[in-house]
Amino acid sequence: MKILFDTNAYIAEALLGEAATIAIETTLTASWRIYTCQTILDEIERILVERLNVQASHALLTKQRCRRRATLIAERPSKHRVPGDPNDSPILAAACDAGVDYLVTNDKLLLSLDPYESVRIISMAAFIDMLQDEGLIDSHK
Amino acid sequence: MSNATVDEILTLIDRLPESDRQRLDEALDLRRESEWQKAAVQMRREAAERGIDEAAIDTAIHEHRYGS
Repeated sequence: MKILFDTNAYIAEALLGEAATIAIETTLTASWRIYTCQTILDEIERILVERLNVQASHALLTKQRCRRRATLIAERPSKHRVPGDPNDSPILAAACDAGVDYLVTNDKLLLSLDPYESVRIISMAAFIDMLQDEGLIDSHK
Repeated sequence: MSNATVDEILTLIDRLPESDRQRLDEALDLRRESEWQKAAVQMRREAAERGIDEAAIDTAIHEHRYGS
């Protein structure tokens, strides 16, 4: 299984732990492959520092940790675009280029595109439910 | 640390046999993970103090992407 977690998953893992940690750790334990792209890496750092007032050194560590655990998809011109939201297009394009099964996001505009070609676009809560259905976790908060 | 020292370390790493390179990579990964885990304790404590939850994170991302 191939998964692309959007920025919210990594920020929630850093600041909250809880469900995001379970989702990412379970994905890794299941030996499913995690993909990311430079847009997500940059967003992790910028949003933690500029929007959530996290120390820059901690934001950098979080970005680097994401990079270590995921395969980086090179961003290039793509036909995959999010209508009305150019900022999300690199994330959708990376998901399509990587051929992921799931793009996990809480971005409402991205979620409204589900399914996009062969990519299921689901929320973090729905992903946790899917992990439960697969028998990979018992319960979640 | 000077550039010369860094270069010397990199040269030493280049000379390591593959098995030692792998051990070094694993040791550095463990160190980086430990560093992040310590940072996460502080990030989570501060986030809890400020009342940051999943909705606040989603809002921060939304505002970053769509403007506020």
